[in-house]
Amino acid sequence: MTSVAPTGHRPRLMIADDDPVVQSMLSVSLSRAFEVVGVASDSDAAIELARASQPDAAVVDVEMPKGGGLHAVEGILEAAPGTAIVVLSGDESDRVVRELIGAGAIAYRRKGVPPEALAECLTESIKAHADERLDPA
Amino acid sequence: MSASTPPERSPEAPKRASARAHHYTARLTEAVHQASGDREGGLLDRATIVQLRDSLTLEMRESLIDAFATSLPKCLTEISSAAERGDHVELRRVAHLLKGSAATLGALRLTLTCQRLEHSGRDRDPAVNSGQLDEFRSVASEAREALREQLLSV
Repeated sequence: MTSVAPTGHRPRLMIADDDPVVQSMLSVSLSRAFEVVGVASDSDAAIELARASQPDAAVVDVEMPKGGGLHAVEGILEAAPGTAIVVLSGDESDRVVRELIGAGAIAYRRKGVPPEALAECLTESIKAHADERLDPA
Repeated sequence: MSASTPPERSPEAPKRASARAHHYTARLTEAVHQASGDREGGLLDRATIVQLRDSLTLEMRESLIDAFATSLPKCLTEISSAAERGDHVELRRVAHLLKGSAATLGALRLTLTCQRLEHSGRDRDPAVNSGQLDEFRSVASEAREALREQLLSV
């Protein structure tokens, strides 16, 4: 079973970023297209939020307290496997991005990406993640 | 990678990330040059300001400015304290955090100032002195006022 919301419903989104301005930016700009179920400021809180809310998608910052993005991605997917994760990166290295994609994140975008582009990426990622779970091969 | 490109999990992704990093740096540099003749003198990234004004309602922009106004004094205090203690790890962390906020809002000069501080922390450069911190506080104050003016005017 996937956690993708039925057609006509806004997909459920969680945000994990320790920057209050980015939290606010993502919350307000994505609230038209998504139901924002919660915001977490560190990796452990993000995992708990995912466990409690079972979102369709998550935006996860690469660099966060309590373990960073890698810990968050691994923990979120363990706690809520139906979550399509899009990583939001600053100027982190290729190695870090590669680790997060390898850990199960679907896509990444750089901070400062236009809200419409991020919303589109999230929507596509939800579909890609659902398809992948239905047909892992 | 364009915004319309479907998400992927491919070996090419990190290469594209590197390309995007170069593109981002180039955009920053280009914006500095473009803004040099502007009234703000490179204080703000006009493209980001226009984008925020076009895509967010006034209420949303007020929410953003409130979040920035709340977090900025805390960041300034933490950066000053970390510099005085010689705590490079904390200096780098907070400078990185504020750099993200500043970039999100198009506070170009503050973004670049934070980037320099962040690199000072990363390189354990001992040259973070009171003059640099004064300049940093001044840039932050200018950014806050300019953002209010540019994002909250009707």
